[in-house]
Amino acid sequence: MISRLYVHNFRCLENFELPVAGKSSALLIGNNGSGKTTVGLALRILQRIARGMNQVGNLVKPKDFFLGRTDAPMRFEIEVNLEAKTYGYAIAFALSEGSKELRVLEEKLTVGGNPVYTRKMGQVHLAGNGHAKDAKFPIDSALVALPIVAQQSKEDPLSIFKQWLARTLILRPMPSLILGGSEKETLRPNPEVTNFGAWFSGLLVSAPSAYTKIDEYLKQVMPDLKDIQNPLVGRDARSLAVKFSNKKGNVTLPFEDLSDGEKCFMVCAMVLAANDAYGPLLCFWDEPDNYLALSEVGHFVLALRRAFESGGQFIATSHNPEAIRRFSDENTLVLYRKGHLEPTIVRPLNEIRTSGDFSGDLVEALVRGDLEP
Amino acid sequence: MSVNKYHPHVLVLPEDDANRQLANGFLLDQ
Repeated sequence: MISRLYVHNFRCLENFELPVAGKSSALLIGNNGSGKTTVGLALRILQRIARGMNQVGNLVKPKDFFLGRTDAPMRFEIEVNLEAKTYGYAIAFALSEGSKELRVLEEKLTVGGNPVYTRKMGQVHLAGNGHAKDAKFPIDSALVALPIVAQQSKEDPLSIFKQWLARTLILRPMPSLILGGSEKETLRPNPEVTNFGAWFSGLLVSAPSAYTKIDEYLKQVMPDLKDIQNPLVGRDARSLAVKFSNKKGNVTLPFEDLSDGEKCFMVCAMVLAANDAYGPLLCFWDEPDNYLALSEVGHFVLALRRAFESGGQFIATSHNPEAIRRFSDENTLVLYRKGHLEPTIVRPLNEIRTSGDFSGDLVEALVRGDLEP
Repeated sequence: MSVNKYHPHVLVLPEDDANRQLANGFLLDQ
């Protein structure tokens, strides 16, 4: 579970800290352009580092500095609690003088406050442990060290943290692009979930019992669902198909022919099953209510909130009143920005309420545009 | 879960924001 996320000088986030410590689920609300999606983009940068992207130029661009302020470094810091230990990772990027290329200025991974490695510009310092002595090595300052530093074993804190961060779910599904085909297996869906088929196969290979969880959820939202098939041979090999049946008979549809909302049910089922099978996970879902019928939104959001209560963390953004009503004052965060030249401000809703800046019905206040932290 | 009006259910119409949050608490505890 994230205990701290700090972002500085990245797009509209300046000196920004997301107060989600101790919350199994949280909702980000705010006007268009207030910075909700940017929080997801910041998490995505950290996730891509853990997934092996080490070239700074592919992670951040000079245009990502807040208001083009390239004189100060861009910082990302995350602290998470995993298996009763606190892991901290921080990275700072800066534009080197006379160059248009971004470089890593500092980088650090700590466990329980003790460094695993620290890095200044092109020098990495690996802290010694029971098995190895202190070590130093040079590194190209245009490369991030986290994907490169070798892990000693599966119990190595580096490996535990990297795996957790790589498996983080940062989602903005685009149902029209989800076709259900797959060539290989993965446990790392991309934000648009266009590799749904590979994720589905990967999850079932690593934890076959996860199918029960998927089936259990989907049958509640689509009572006539029979099963999901992924044939390994034949013309439709490795293309998901969904079978529905009732007393009159049955029909099998290719995955790509499901409706946008139904594809979102499938993604939701995968999130629930993944958190159960290889969690606890962090799931950041940008507008999970998109594409859903009004009668479904509340149940959908509550199913996710309920699943993450027993482990992991769920962060959603939303403009939908039905989704917003399923959260409470203490886990709703309001993001606000006065204009495009101002940074994002974040305040928990309960703090806004107790300070007397706002009272009454939240959705009505949002409709009137009266909620300003 | 999904609305199935043929199953027994309770429809909660909270009278204010505080009651709405209480109702959420019951739903999360199911």
